[in-house]
Amino acid sequence: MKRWLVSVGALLLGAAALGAAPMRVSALHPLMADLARQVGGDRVQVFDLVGEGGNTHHFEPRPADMKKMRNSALVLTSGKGMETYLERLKASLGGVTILEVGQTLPSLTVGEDSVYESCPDHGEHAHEHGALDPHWWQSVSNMRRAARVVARAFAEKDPAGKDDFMANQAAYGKQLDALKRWAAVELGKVPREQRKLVTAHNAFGYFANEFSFEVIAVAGLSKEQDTTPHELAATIEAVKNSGVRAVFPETNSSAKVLKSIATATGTRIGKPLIADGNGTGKEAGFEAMIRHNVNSITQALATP
Amino acid sequence: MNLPRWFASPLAGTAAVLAGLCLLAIPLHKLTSANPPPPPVVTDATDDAAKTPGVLRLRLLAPARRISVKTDRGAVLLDEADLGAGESEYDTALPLDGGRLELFLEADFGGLESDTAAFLTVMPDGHEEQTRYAIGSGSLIEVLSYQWHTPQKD
Repeated sequence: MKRWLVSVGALLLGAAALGAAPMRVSALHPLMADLARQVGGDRVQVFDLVGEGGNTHHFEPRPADMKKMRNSALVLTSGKGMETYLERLKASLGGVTILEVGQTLPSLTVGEDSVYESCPDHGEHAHEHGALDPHWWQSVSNMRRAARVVARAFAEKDPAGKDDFMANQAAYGKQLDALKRWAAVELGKVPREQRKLVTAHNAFGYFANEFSFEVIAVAGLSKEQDTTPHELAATIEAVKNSGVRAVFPETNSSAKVLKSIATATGTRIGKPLIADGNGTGKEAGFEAMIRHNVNSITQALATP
Repeated sequence: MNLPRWFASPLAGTAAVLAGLCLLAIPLHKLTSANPPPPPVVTDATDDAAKTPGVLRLRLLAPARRISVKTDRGAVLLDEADLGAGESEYDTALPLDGGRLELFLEADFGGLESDTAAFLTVMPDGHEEQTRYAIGSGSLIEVLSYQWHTPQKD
């Protein structure tokens, strides 16, 4: 009888070990959810709270989202001031660890000369230099570094999974290197004088920096920012002077202003670009976003 | 009790005191020499420099028998033996001096006769990554210099 009980106990323990619950991770940005899946693999259960196609600039957590976050070992945000509600959220989440993934990545400031600044804390100090561009995920190199940041954070919460997390991030790093090489080759098809991005939302600074493009943004950093007649006139002038062939709207935002610029300058309207990783279906996720954007840009600017 | 006359002499007294001191010296010597004296403290000059957390990414085209990366002040950032070709990453702390960093790369490729290369990417937190490389055969000894833009202080 005793032997039988011991065997059953051992079996139950073994089953429990095999079916250990994955670590719960909440993400407040679809690309952070994608990154968590890439790095965490089977060891994490990811709650993508903004979801495919969601608005990362103005996400408001519902009670169900708050419950998921409170039950998570880690909450991932993109950081760099992207989640404007973060301080309030921190106060209401109490002891849950919030990781601002982009915090230690290089920052691009959108100022007079768009120089890089080192403001990893992006507190009040960061704003002395001008607006900090929060769209760091538009750089493949940044995303690669972010994978290591996430792997380290996962390993702290689940030390037994450290080897898996580090191996996953290394494999993902190779995948991203291949993606960057592909993007560089494709964008190389665009004539040098056409390497200019006229976009509706100033979200492609990191992309432009990585692939040697110049950004001519119509509005400010936020999608909701209105364009004044003066700004519009200046943009039309800049587009005319640049000789660029196309302007690019953005998915999930109005192309009204861009259409008027295209009409005024005689440029074509390219396929909408994905700025905040909020692509849907086959265009969801980081790699799909970069491939979509590179293809759209090459298609519009490489052909006369 | 009658003691021999020589025992009462001053010479004998001095000899007795000396003998006592010698006997005391044995345990004293044992006590003080049981642990070797600590080596002179070598102050790592980099201790004084502010360090920035960061990552080193090393890419080797050929396996290395030994490879090390040190700062210009001698702090060891990585030291690996029998490292295969490919890529590896290391968390570290970088003594950026006004945005400058000089690293001393040393590699032994175990008598490899053909040319090979080592690429070292440095990624300090808050700064763009920068890559330098060294090419050679057999072994490499190279100083790699990095420089980052630092914001001007008001």
